Amino acid sequence: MAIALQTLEAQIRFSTQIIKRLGEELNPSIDQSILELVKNSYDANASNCIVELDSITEIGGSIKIKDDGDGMDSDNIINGWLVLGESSKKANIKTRLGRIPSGSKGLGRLAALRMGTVAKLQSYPKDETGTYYELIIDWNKYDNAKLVEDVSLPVKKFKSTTDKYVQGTCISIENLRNKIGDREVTRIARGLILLSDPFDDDPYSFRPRLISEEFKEMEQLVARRYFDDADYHLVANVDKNGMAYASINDYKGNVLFQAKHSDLSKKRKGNIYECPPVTFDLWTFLLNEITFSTRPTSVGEVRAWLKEFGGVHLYENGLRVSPYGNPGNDWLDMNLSRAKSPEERPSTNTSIGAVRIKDSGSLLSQKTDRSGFIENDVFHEIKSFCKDALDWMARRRLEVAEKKRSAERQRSKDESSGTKESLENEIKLLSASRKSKVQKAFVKYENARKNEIKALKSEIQLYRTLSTAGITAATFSHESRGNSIKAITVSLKTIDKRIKEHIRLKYDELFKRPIDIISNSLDSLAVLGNATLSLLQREKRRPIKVSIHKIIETSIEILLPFFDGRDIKVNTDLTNGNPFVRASEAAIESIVTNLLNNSIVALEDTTIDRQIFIKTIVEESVLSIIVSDNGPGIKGINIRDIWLPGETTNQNGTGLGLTIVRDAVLDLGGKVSANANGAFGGAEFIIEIPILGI
Amino acid sequence: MARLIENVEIERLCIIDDDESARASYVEEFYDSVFTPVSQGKVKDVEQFLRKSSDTFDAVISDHQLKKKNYFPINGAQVVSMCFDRHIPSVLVTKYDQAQMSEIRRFRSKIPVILNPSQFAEDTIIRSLEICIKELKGEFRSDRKLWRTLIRIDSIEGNHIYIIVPSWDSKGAISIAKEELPAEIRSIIEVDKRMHVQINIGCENINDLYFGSWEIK
Repeated sequence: MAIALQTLEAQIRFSTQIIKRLGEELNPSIDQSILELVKNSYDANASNCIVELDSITEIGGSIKIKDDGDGMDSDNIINGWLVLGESSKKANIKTRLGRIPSGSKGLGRLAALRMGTVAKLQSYPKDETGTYYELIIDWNKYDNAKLVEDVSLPVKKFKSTTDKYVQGTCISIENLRNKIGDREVTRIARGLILLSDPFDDDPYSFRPRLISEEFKEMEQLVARRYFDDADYHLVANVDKNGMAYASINDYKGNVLFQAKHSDLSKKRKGNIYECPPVTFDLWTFLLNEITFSTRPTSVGEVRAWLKEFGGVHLYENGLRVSPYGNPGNDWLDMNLSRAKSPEERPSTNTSIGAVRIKDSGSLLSQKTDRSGFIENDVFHEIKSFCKDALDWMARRRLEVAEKKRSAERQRSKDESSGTKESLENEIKLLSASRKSKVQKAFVKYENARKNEIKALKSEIQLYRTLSTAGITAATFSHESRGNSIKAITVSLKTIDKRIKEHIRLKYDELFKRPIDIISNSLDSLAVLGNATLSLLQREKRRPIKVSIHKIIETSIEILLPFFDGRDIKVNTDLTNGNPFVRASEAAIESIVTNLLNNSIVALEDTTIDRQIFIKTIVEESVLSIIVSDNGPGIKGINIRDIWLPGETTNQNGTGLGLTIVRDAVLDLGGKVSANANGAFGGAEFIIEIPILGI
Repeated sequence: MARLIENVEIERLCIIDDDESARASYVEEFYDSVFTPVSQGKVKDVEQFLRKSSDTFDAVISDHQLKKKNYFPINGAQVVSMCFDRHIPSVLVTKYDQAQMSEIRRFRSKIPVILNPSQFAEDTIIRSLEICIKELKGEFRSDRKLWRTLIRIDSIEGNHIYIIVPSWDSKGAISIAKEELPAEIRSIIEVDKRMHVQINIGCENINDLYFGSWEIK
């Protein structure tokens, strides 16, 4: 073993550059930096904390943060306040006032202190009446030094000049390096107001204040508390055993619905929520003039309040954790859920809420740059609980809406018969000659109205039947493609292989044809399923840039086995270029597929060489799609009526295909027309759509 | 009989499919082949089933849709990926639609080959197992290799995000279910955000595209 000739002691040392990088790169914004200092006041048991801004609209201004907390002695300053990177979060050790420390690693504090060129700390410890400690950090010294340890920071003790009992800490950040604008001041004010759960009713809770006009206005706004105007109040919680409960109350506080753990946790099959105790309050508002017409508050006032404070804020052990609930932060995906299913879902603009977590076991941990929690399993469990509660509320509200709709239908019916009765009574009062004429006109009107209702009912029924058929067809397509067709395909291949191996000489003569027939039929069967499923693809309902020629080509490709099976030849003559529109693929596909289906049916009655022709022409940003065939043409129906729902000459037809074409084209800002006998003798349909480009 | 594929002896093929006829048809296809097919019955605990694998089979051929009929507690893509983790060569044989593609893509890094049932034959299974065993050894084909790739979020709709991968297809947006994304990415996604993702941009078909790790700036 080698013996060392000499041993030198060494340590890792930090360049002063690290101070700059840590402080400035790890903290997201001025308001967050100031909030870090305010949280220190909370940890120091302060009741009041005042933030003063002086000449901040110019470079060189100052910020003062003053509290009446426990203060610090030299030991606290040297071994606590000046130590960076060590989290003081010992959640199981509560402060003197029973608060769970917010826990700062000191990096936010560093960023705040470095906003100016000088930071000054004066602290009056609670237990040393008549004395105070002072520390001045001149950051220029760091800029000129090489290593952090090269700059010494004297902590001086002074005798207090006042006889009054003073305790607490005052931090001044002087000679600010940047200006602070109005928007930032508003953000600081909002951050301070929301920091210590203003929605809670506790009058003794920590209430930091900012000396500014913005703060006063915002404080007045938050104090208005429009919670009583909320139409629904969701109260949900997870207890210490992970069991969840919820209720929905109306604006009077009456319980409308209640949920047990099993109701909320259906998605997770009743499993518990593995998180510390959580309460979730959400007040949702129906922001319309009718709802507010009988209330003392105007809808505008509530809207302004929600604009400033709306969203779901998150409080950990009494202090707010940013960015949850900030403008634009939709951490529970409320706006997405509303967009997906708008009925009876709140958005961040129509609701306000607070998720309060009591985490004494440090199960949650905030990111170093203070941009929220590290998204560990516990955080996901909390989020999942909140979302489950929101889903449950949406289901219950939908139930209420359904009941309302059903009552509305009944009321309309009653109203209609009531109106009829009063009209008949009025007619009775007319003179005999007038009475007869009006009665006749009324009967005529009544019959026309009945016919209209009958037609509408039958149309609705038709749509319902077709939707059911579509859903069933999709299920069958999935099933047959996945199982039966698969088993037949594989077995047929096996039979084919074995016959070739064992009876090779007779294969072509005896087996090839029937095997080919089964194989081709299987292809056709698979196409049936694919065509149905292809129409139902979710992606196709998304508005995007759609190439019309591409849709024409794929629609023909999907239907090719049908054309082959019916001996139909499809001819295309597509204009040069690639005309496109912004639409959903489903819309263009439904136009093309329905027109092709129409021709397939029309050609069923012909014995000639069946042909379909698709032509496109572009003239002045309008694309014409002309679909024609050499079938018998449009017969037995007025050409204007072919577009009407339910109008068809085909006994088994629905009469909806061309209506769908018309509606889809109108939605695209286009128009439809038809010729009973077009260029090829059969029906000709002309679709004109304005395009975006070619 | 057994077959030596990439120095791994494979004899018993476990056939997993929720349709009995489909299972039987696969077994028939292997009659008189180098493999011995084993038709798999209902499974309640996949972990336990795979733990005992070495006693009963050497490789797995699985359909994707297994949950519907309560045949397996998870679908085939996940079963195949679990096999991959345990170094059991396996092939997914399925015809899937877009909705299923999204589910399968989540496990695609551990599904070296997906076959269409119409491709099902002894020689294609041998070739597929060969590819799978190579990937288990860390040898990836060029179309399966991941590259650090710049993407842009084109839009966010409901539970899906649409991304553009300019180096693969600069025009078409690729749909990804939000739950496919790592949790830390899910919380920061926004339209027009650009980020780097590991993607096998050497593949030609959108159905073969899969994503590795996502980078947070």
